[in-house]
Amino acid sequence: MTTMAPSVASFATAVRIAMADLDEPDRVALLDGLEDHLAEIVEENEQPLDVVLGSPEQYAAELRRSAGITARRRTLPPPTIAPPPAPVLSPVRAAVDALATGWWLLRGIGVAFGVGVWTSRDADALSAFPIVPVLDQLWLGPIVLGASVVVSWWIRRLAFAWRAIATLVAVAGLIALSVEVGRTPALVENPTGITMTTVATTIATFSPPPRIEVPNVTGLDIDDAIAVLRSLGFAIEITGGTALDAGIVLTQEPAGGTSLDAGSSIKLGVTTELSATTSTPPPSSPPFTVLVPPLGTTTTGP
Amino acid sequence: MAAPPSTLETTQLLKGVMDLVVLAALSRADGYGYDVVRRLRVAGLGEIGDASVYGTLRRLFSQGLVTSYLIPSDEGPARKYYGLTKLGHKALDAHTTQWNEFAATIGEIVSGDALSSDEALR
Repeated sequence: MTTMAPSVASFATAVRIAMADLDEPDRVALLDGLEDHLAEIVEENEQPLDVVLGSPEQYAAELRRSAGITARRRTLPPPTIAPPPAPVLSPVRAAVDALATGWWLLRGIGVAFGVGVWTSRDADALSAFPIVPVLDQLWLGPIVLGASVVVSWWIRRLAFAWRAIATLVAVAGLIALSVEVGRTPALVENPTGITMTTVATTIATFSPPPRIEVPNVTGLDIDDAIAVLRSLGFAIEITGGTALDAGIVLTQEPAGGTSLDAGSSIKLGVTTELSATTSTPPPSSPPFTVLVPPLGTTTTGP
Repeated sequence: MAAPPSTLETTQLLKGVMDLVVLAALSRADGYGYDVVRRLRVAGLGEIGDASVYGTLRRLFSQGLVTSYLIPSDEGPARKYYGLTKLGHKALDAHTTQWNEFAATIGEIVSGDALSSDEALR
């Protein structure tokens, strides 16, 4: 019983295959312990299993019938049969399908533009682009455009040949339009419709800050120097000394008379009352750097 | 079944009484599947199908007529023993009554007693 005869294993496997369509609970209930049972039969009869029991298929059919399971419970094929592979779209086909959603719109616009270019002799009328006039009539443009898009949508279920013709018309129209646009001076000069006003505004917005002459503040009390420089729009960077208050500006960089962009930083070297009298800063004090932003920024000032 | 064609009828006959004989085989003592097969063969049903008994046991179990439990075996894995439930005993009684009536009728028919009158022949 511990070792299973090959015939038992193969017989049991064949029975299980024949019962593979049953639902899990039925299958387990009917086939649980099958191998042990078959081994017992072999031991007792000392004859091949198919002689004692008939074929595995017959055995399975009998098991099924006596258990009251007459029909196949599941419509699924046996697990050995692989399900048919799902259709796989090629990448190209998938891309075309994805484009198809908006293709009718593009086609409609192209046809309308083509009609407009071919029927309009007044090149200046094209300066109204993206409104393309039809028969030199500006108001006809949008009407034809709308009608063209509707028709393009309408024919999207027609035979491929019809859609191909419409597509060719659209492509030709777009090519003609691009050629015409290239020949129209107004469109060449200002193809985007951006006016000079907007350009000026844009330039003004991004124009560099004005340059301001830096006054000479050396010798001034640090508070006065800060006030003067900030009022002009400079940032101030103070170095040296041990205390900010009561210092005197010894050095400035850049020097007075230089022109700098507003918001630029001016470095001021200051001394303290101590160093002003003794000319020697206390050796234990590390030098400091203080940044003071220009007026008009978000800080509150010194 | 690896049975000669002549025993096919026995197999057919057995189909109608599988429930009865399996319930009867378990009425005195519980037993595992192959026990039932052996008991029935020893009792004279040499042709009884192994798979028929197992399938029947499964169906009786799902109908609540027999119960099952596992008993550890000296030689191998635990065996599934079957025994009658109360419902199973009731069913056995009903089946037995029904069978006795049926067997009596068949007996009368076969002996010719039931076919003696012209009325029955018509």
